[in-house]
Amino acid sequence: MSTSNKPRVLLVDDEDHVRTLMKVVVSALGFDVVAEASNGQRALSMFHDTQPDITILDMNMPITTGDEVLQGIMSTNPQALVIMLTSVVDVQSVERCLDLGAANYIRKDTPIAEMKTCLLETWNAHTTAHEETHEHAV
Amino acid sequence: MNTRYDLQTMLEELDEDIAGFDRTKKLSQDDIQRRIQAKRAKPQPHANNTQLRVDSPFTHDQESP
Repeated sequence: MSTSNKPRVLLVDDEDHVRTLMKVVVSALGFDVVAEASNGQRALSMFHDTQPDITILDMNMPITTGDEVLQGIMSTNPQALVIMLTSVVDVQSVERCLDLGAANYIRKDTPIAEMKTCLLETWNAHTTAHEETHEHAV
Repeated sequence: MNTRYDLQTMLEELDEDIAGFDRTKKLSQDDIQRRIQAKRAKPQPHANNTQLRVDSPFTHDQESP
Protein backbone atom coordinates (compact mmCIF):
# COMPACT_ATOMS: atom_id res chain seq x y z
CA MET A 1 0.00 0.00 0.00
CA SER A 2 1.10 3.57 -0.57
CA THR A 3 2.38 5.83 2.20
CA SER A 4 -0.95 7.74 2.14
CA ASN A 5 -2.63 4.54 3.43
CA LYS A 6 -5.36 4.91 0.84
CA PRO A 7 -6.05 1.64 -0.95
CA ARG A 8 -4.76 1.99 -4.53
CA VAL A 9 -7.23 0.92 -7.18
CA LEU A 10 -6.87 -0.20 -10.80
CA LEU A 11 -10.13 0.23 -12.74
CA VAL A 12 -10.61 -2.01 -15.76
CA ASP A 13 -13.61 -1.56 -18.06
CA ASP A 14 -13.92 -0.91 -21.78
CA GLU A 15 -16.78 1.54 -21.19
CA ASP A 16 -15.67 5.07 -20.30
CA HIS A 17 -18.85 5.94 -18.42
CA VAL A 18 -18.50 2.88 -16.17
CA ARG A 19 -14.95 3.83 -15.27
CA THR A 20 -16.05 7.42 -14.61
CA LEU A 21 -18.85 6.22 -12.34
CA MET A 22 -16.61 3.75 -10.51
CA LYS A 23 -14.00 6.45 -10.01
CA VAL A 24 -16.60 8.51 -8.17
CA VAL A 25 -17.76 5.47 -6.16
CA VAL A 26 -14.31 4.32 -5.02
CA SER A 27 -13.12 7.88 -4.36
CA ALA A 28 -16.14 8.36 -2.07
CA LEU A 29 -14.89 5.32 -0.11
CA GLY A 30 -11.51 6.96 0.36
CA PHE A 31 -9.77 4.77 -2.21
CA ASP A 32 -7.27 6.17 -4.69
CA VAL A 33 -7.64 5.30 -8.38
CA VAL A 34 -4.04 4.96 -9.59
CA ALA A 35 -4.72 3.58 -13.07
CA GLU A 36 -7.45 2.83 -15.57
CA ALA A 37 -7.51 0.36 -18.44
CA SER A 38 -10.00 -0.07 -21.26
CA ASN A 39 -8.95 -3.54 -22.34
CA GLY A 40 -7.60 -6.70 -20.79
CA GLN A 41 -4.13 -6.56 -22.25
CA ARG A 42 -3.56 -3.03 -21.01
CA ALA A 43 -4.99 -4.08 -17.64
CA LEU A 44 -2.35 -6.77 -17.21
CA SER A 45 0.48 -4.40 -18.06
CA MET A 46 -0.93 -1.72 -15.72
CA PHE A 47 -1.31 -4.26 -12.94
CA HIS A 48 2.39 -5.14 -13.20
CA ASP A 49 3.38 -1.47 -13.42
CA THR A 50 1.26 -0.09 -10.56
CA GLN A 51 0.81 -3.14 -8.25
CA PRO A 52 -2.59 -1.89 -7.02
CA ASP A 53 -4.17 -2.98 -3.73
CA ILE A 54 -7.51 -3.55 -5.48
CA THR A 55 -8.35 -4.34 -9.10
CA ILE A 56 -11.93 -3.79 -10.20
CA LEU A 57 -12.38 -5.84 -13.33
CA ASP A 58 -15.00 -6.05 -16.07
CA MET A 59 -15.65 -9.37 -17.81
CA ASN A 60 -16.57 -8.58 -21.43
CA MET A 61 -13.67 -6.68 -22.94
CA PRO A 62 -11.83 -6.62 -26.25
CA ILE A 63 -8.49 -8.42 -26.79
CA THR A 64 -8.31 -10.15 -23.40
CA THR A 65 -11.43 -10.98 -21.41
CA GLY A 66 -11.87 -10.34 -17.70
CA ASP A 67 -11.47 -13.96 -16.63
CA GLU A 68 -8.25 -14.23 -18.64
CA VAL A 69 -6.95 -11.06 -16.98
CA LEU A 70 -7.95 -12.46 -13.59
CA GLN A 71 -6.06 -15.67 -14.33
CA GLY A 72 -2.99 -13.67 -15.39
CA ILE A 73 -3.06 -11.54 -12.26
CA MET A 74 -3.58 -14.44 -9.86
CA SER A 75 -0.81 -16.50 -11.48
CA THR A 76 1.71 -13.75 -10.81
CA ASN A 77 0.27 -12.57 -7.48
CA PRO A 78 -2.02 -15.07 -5.70
CA GLN A 79 -2.58 -12.53 -2.89
CA ALA A 80 -4.00 -9.93 -5.29
CA LEU A 81 -7.43 -8.54 -4.47
CA VAL A 82 -9.57 -8.64 -7.60
CA ILE A 83 -13.25 -7.73 -7.62
CA MET A 84 -15.29 -8.53 -10.70
CA LEU A 85 -17.80 -5.86 -11.75
CA THR A 86 -19.85 -7.12 -14.66
CA SER A 87 -23.17 -7.77 -16.32
CA VAL A 88 -22.13 -11.36 -17.03
CA VAL A 89 -23.82 -13.21 -14.18
CA ASP A 90 -24.36 -16.79 -15.32
CA VAL A 91 -23.40 -19.54 -12.86
CA GLN A 92 -20.51 -20.75 -15.01
CA SER A 93 -18.82 -17.33 -15.22
CA VAL A 94 -19.35 -16.54 -11.54
CA GLU A 95 -18.01 -19.94 -10.43
CA ARG A 96 -15.04 -19.72 -12.80
CA CYS A 97 -13.99 -16.30 -11.48
CA LEU A 98 -14.44 -17.32 -7.85
CA ASP A 99 -12.40 -20.48 -8.49
CA LEU A 100 -9.69 -18.39 -10.16
CA GLY A 101 -9.47 -16.30 -6.99
CA ALA A 102 -11.77 -13.30 -7.41
CA ALA A 103 -12.52 -11.90 -3.96
CA ASN A 104 -15.97 -10.71 -4.93
CA TYR A 105 -18.32 -10.55 -7.89
CA ILE A 106 -20.62 -7.57 -8.27
CA ARG A 107 -23.41 -7.13 -10.78
CA LYS A 108 -23.22 -3.82 -12.63
CA ASP A 109 -26.87 -3.12 -11.90
CA THR A 110 -26.29 -3.27 -8.14
CA PRO A 111 -27.43 -0.05 -6.40
CA ILE A 112 -24.49 2.26 -5.65
CA ALA A 113 -24.96 2.10 -1.86
CA GLU A 114 -24.89 -1.72 -1.94
CA MET A 115 -21.90 -1.63 -4.28
CA LYS A 116 -19.99 0.60 -1.85
CA THR A 117 -20.79 -1.74 1.06
CA CYS A 118 -19.65 -4.71 -0.98
CA LEU A 119 -16.35 -3.04 -1.96
CA LEU A 120 -15.64 -1.89 1.58
CA GLU A 121 -16.46 -5.26 3.16
CA THR A 122 -14.27 -7.06 0.63
CA TRP A 123 -11.37 -4.70 1.31
CA ASN A 124 -11.77 -5.04 5.09
CA ALA A 125 -11.98 -8.85 4.89
CA HIS A 126 -8.88 -8.93 2.70
CA THR A 127 -6.80 -6.71 4.98
CA THR A 128 -7.89 -8.67 8.07
CA ALA A 129 -6.98 -11.98 6.43
CA HIS A 130 -3.66 -10.52 5.25
CA GLU A 131 -2.82 -9.26 8.77
CA GLU A 132 -3.68 -12.67 10.28
CA THR A 133 -1.47 -14.46 7.76
CA HIS A 134 1.34 -12.02 8.53
CA GLU A 135 0.96 -12.58 12.30
CA HIS A 136 1.08 -16.38 11.84
CA ALA A 137 4.20 -16.03 9.73
CA VAL A 138 5.90 -13.97 12.50
CA MET B 1 -34.52 -53.95 -24.47
CA ASN B 2 -34.86 -51.06 -26.85
CA THR B 3 -37.47 -49.42 -24.63
CA ARG B 4 -35.18 -49.69 -21.61
CA TYR B 5 -32.26 -48.27 -23.58
CA ASP B 6 -34.34 -45.39 -24.90
CA LEU B 7 -35.60 -44.53 -21.45
CA GLN B 8 -32.04 -44.50 -20.10
CA THR B 9 -30.89 -42.29 -22.98
CA MET B 10 -33.78 -39.94 -22.44
CA LEU B 11 -33.02 -39.66 -18.73
CA GLU B 12 -29.36 -38.92 -19.46
CA GLU B 13 -30.31 -36.27 -22.00
CA LEU B 14 -32.71 -34.73 -19.52
CA ASP B 15 -29.96 -34.61 -16.89
CA GLU B 16 -27.66 -32.88 -19.38
CA ASP B 17 -30.36 -30.35 -20.22
CA ILE B 18 -30.94 -29.57 -16.55
CA ALA B 19 -27.20 -29.24 -15.91
CA GLY B 20 -26.87 -26.99 -18.95
CA PHE B 21 -29.77 -24.84 -17.78
CA ASP B 22 -28.23 -24.51 -14.30
CA ARG B 23 -24.90 -23.39 -15.74
CA THR B 24 -26.51 -20.62 -17.80
CA LYS B 25 -28.90 -19.49 -15.07
CA LYS B 26 -28.52 -15.81 -14.22
CA LEU B 27 -27.64 -15.13 -10.60
CA SER B 28 -28.93 -12.26 -8.47
CA GLN B 29 -26.46 -10.32 -6.31
CA ASP B 30 -27.82 -12.18 -3.27
CA ASP B 31 -27.23 -15.54 -5.01
CA ILE B 32 -23.67 -14.50 -5.82
CA GLN B 33 -22.96 -13.40 -2.24
CA ARG B 34 -24.35 -16.72 -0.91
CA ARG B 35 -22.00 -18.61 -3.23
CA ILE B 36 -19.05 -16.50 -2.08
CA GLN B 37 -19.93 -17.10 1.59
CA ALA B 38 -20.23 -20.84 0.93
CA LYS B 39 -16.81 -20.91 -0.74
CA ARG B 40 -15.21 -18.97 2.14
CA ALA B 41 -16.82 -21.33 4.67
CA LYS B 42 -15.35 -24.43 2.99
CA PRO B 43 -12.38 -25.79 4.99
CA GLN B 44 -9.06 -25.31 3.23
CA PRO B 45 -6.95 -28.39 2.49
CA HIS B 46 -4.49 -29.05 5.33
CA ALA B 47 -1.18 -27.40 4.60
CA ASN B 48 0.80 -30.19 6.30
CA ASN B 49 -0.71 -33.19 4.55
CA THR B 50 2.73 -34.55 3.76
CA GLN B 51 3.75 -34.40 7.40
CA LEU B 52 0.54 -36.16 8.48
CA ARG B 53 1.26 -38.95 6.02
CA VAL B 54 4.76 -39.41 7.41
CA ASP B 55 3.41 -39.57 10.97
CA SER B 56 0.58 -41.96 10.14
CA PRO B 57 0.56 -45.35 11.90
CA PHE B 58 1.10 -47.12 8.57
CA THR B 59 4.63 -45.77 8.29
CA HIS B 60 5.59 -47.45 11.61
CA ASP B 61 4.75 -50.86 10.10
CA GLN B 62 7.92 -50.63 8.06
CA GLU B 63 10.01 -50.39 11.22
CA SER B 64 8.48 -53.47 12.86
CA PRO B 65 10.13 -56.83 12.14
